[in-house]
Amino acid sequence: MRFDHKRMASIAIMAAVLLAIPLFATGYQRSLLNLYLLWIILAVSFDILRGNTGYVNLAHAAVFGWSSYFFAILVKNGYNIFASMVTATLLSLALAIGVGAPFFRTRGAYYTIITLGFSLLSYSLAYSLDWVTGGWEGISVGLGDMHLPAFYGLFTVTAAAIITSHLIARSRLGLALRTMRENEEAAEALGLDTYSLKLKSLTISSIFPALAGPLYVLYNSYVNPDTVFGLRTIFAPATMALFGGSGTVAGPIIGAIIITTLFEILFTTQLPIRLTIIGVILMIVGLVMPRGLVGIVPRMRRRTLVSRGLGVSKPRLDYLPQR
Amino acid sequence: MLSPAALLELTLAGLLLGGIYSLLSIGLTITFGVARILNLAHGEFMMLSALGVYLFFQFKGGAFNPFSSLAILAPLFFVSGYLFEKFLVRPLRSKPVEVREWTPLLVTLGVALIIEDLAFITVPREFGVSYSLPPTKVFGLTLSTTRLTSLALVTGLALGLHLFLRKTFTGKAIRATIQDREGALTMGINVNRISAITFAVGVSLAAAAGAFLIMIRGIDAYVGLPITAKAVAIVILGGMGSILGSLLGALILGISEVYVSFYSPAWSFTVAWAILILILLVRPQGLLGKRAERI
Repeated sequence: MRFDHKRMASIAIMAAVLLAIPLFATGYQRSLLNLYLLWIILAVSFDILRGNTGYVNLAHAAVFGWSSYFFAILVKNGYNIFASMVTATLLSLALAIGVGAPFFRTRGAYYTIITLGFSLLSYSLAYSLDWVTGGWEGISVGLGDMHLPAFYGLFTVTAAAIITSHLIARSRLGLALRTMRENEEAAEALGLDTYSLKLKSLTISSIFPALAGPLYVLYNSYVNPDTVFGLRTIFAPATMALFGGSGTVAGPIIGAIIITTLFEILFTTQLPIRLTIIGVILMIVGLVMPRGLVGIVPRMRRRTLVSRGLGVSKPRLDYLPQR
Repeated sequence: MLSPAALLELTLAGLLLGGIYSLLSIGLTITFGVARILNLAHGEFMMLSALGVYLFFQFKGGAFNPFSSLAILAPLFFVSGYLFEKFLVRPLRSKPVEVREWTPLLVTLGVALIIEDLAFITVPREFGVSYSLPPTKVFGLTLSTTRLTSLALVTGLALGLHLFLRKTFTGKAIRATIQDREGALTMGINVNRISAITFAVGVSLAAAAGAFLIMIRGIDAYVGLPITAKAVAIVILGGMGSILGSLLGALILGISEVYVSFYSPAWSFTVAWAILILILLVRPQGLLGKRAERI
């Protein structure tokens, strides 16, 4: 990658402005900012797996959920906050890899459905293990106002996720993953170890939700099954990434910002038909713009995005025979 | 410890619940089989049928019992299943390969949310049907006639479906399309028509499950997605696209749910999911599934 002073300077100024905003914000605005960062992390890291390998991992948000729960349980039992954070992150990452690895014996829609199954199991486990998780009441941890530290933590993780996604797209690993995405048998014939490639990308993509969980509990100071394992949460990273445009760096970020804004409007105004509105939007995304917002930008414009390094060029499969 | 009578009662309840689950999940597995699209709105049709039975019972209780209202509702659901395939599933199937794995999930989830919202506006509370026939006495045991009738009807439906799929030309065409869509196409089967018929049958089975379920427990407008999740679990457990596997999975899940909830209701769902994950770790393709393949 060329080193572009002008671009670096503009990124640095943007980052400085973003870092300064919460200092002047109210409590609600701070939690809203944190919410945006959280969803950007989940959408971008979800797309590290989906955008490069094509595997739709609906257990992605569950890793975040378990990480939140582990942290809340540890803190509730009086452990040091920092130590709990590290432990919760490592535990949930181990869970993601340990449970996620056997799922790679399935492919395509089967993988999507099995990972959905894991998320649903997580939901019912969080309900039934009520002596540790508090059942439907959840766990509240009294940590005081931690919005600012959580913001800087989430900001760091967001930046790391975006940079990782950007670097992977340009690395040999990314090239190998995309080869595998287009044709797994052909990739194996070329000598690529597809199983270890999948595990590598699953690990990289799961680090970020595992890190985000404790930070979420830090500012929200409350966790319950519906907020971290509810269907809305399970489907959100996928919806955001695919709405914005999967397989690009910018797409999931745009998707996360738009959908979080929409959810915030719908659920704070308490509209009676809010589920219908979400349903209609989901249907439009799926039926009309399957390539997401970035996908409907005309091809010429996309080429400029690619040359500026904002999007990764993505080979289209339209020429393949339609079944 | 359980008395023999209570054990029989529980087993009966477990068989009935398993039977209801099997109608639901066989419907889901055949629609997934022919279209390779997971319909997340499947449980909504069950909820709508239960809602229909409830409304009939509430306002015309004297004229219709739940069984006869199911007979009236079933053709409606048959037609809506047909239209659902024609206007929603077929356009989704024509999407490029790279997006076909997840767009159906988004679209059918959207449909499910819309149906739930509209049903909630219609009846914004938990609803149930308190319908029972006089109890039957066999060998000194008192058994619920309603449940026995339901169980008989569920068994009858399952047998009828089995015969339909084995003996009729349409049934054989459905099985051929499940096995290999392109193969069926080259053999001169109109796969689009078969898909639509399969969705009509699958949705009707879900509707039947709804009518039987509303007689044993109260439900609300938001029951659809959790019950779809359960049906998905059963379908994965049995092996995707395997009808016998779904039946087996549904019975395992229904009976274990009833037994577990006798001791601790909160655990029934978790035990079911734990059984599922354990079986999948040993056999990723499900109990009776074939080797997983790319769709």
